Amino acid sequence: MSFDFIFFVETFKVGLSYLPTTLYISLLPLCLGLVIGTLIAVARMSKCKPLIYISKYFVVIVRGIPPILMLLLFFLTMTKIFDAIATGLHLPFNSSIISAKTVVICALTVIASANFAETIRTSFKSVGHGQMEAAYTIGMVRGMAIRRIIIPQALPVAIPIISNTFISLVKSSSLAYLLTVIDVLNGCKIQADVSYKFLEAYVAAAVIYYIICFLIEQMARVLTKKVSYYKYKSA
Amino acid sequence: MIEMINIHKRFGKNEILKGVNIEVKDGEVVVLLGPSGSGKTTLLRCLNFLEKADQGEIVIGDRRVDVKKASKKEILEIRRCTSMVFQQYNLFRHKTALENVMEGMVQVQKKDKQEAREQAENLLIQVGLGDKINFYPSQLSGGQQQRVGIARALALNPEVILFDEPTSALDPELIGEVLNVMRDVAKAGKTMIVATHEMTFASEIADKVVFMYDGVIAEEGTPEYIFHQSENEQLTKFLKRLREH
Repeated sequence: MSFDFIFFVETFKVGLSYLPTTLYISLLPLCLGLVIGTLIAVARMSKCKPLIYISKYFVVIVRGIPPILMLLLFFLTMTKIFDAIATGLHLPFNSSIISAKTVVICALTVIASANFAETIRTSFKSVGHGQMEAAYTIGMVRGMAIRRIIIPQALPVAIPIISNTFISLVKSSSLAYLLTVIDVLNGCKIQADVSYKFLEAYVAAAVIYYIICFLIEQMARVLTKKVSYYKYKSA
Repeated sequence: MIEMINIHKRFGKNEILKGVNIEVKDGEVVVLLGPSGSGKTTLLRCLNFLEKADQGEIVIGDRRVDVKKASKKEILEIRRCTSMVFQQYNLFRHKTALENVMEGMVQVQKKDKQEAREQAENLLIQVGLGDKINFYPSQLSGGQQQRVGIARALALNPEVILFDEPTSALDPELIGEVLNVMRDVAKAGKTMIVATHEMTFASEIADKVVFMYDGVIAEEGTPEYIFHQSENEQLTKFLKRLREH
């Protein structure tokens, strides 16, 4: 088996030039997912029965669907639904404005939302009800108790899990090549389509993904340390 | 003066409090006694609205609240003139002993930070933890954590401090240090309501002992009366069981 090292380096460079695309289609779902996931978690922890059921089943269903299927389902339905709505409302545009990237971002956002909803809910739960009660007994109102007592203790639990989810988002974003988005994986693959040196191209892509994930992990570690109090610092 | 009038509370089908009336004068130490499940903890938690009673009235000083109609504002007012010491301490884990004691003074009572700090330090010295003010709860023993809990409750200068079995989660050799601090608090004239199984403590410190059984007050009186004179059947059975251990 031969390994063309020069081609590997060349492909690595090409792959790297598509890094912005990969970051774009994984960072945006991260941010949107955090916002939507928080809302879902709040709904789940509310006292409103319908909201609880909707959020619960959303999470269960979404987490049961493999990312690749989610992507394909969005690809098959999104444009059609969009067109139906646009025609119905007589809007001056149609689904042609939805790019493949947008489809990927939407699909990944849904996946991220479901995961973050669970992350946020469980990290809140991990703080324990006694802390909330103690906050009430020193005269705090709910909002202040959540801000000053619950969130600071939930963050060191949540951040490592959020970083894990982010890492799997980055990796799942490589599925975008199925929808012709040119990201790191597809960028490398296109090089190989010409030269037939697939192994070199895939290894180059793998190295790039590894580096991104490594950096995310390190950042999460620093961040966790920053928000941690004694119990975690010593551990 | 604190009064709870005709307090009812049920959890699902289980009626825990079946019309409890209790009166505590200023500066009095009242001990709640009774087998587990008799409603001691629930009664304390109804007083500061950690549980909302189904029916009844709560009077603290000149505030009178019908629990059924209690508004958020009224609940907050009641909470701000009471404080609680928990069985499981419930110290804020992300804050040092000093910060735990200061939190309510600074955030809720809006006291000046420097002033709050001095007061908190003094309180921690009072409970014998002057050398531990910058320790996190996880670095303290159970007894030390509970003493911080008492300091935190004292810091708010409430009209009454509620103690919910404050020594039940402690190792036997650590109970003494917590009871000593509670004795000091009692001697300083604080109004206290204490749910406990510590009989010696009760007979020594309490002005009044209330025996709860099956959701009602079965007997009440001075420690002398409760421990030596009362002929209440449930009480004598309960005391006999405790003494056998």
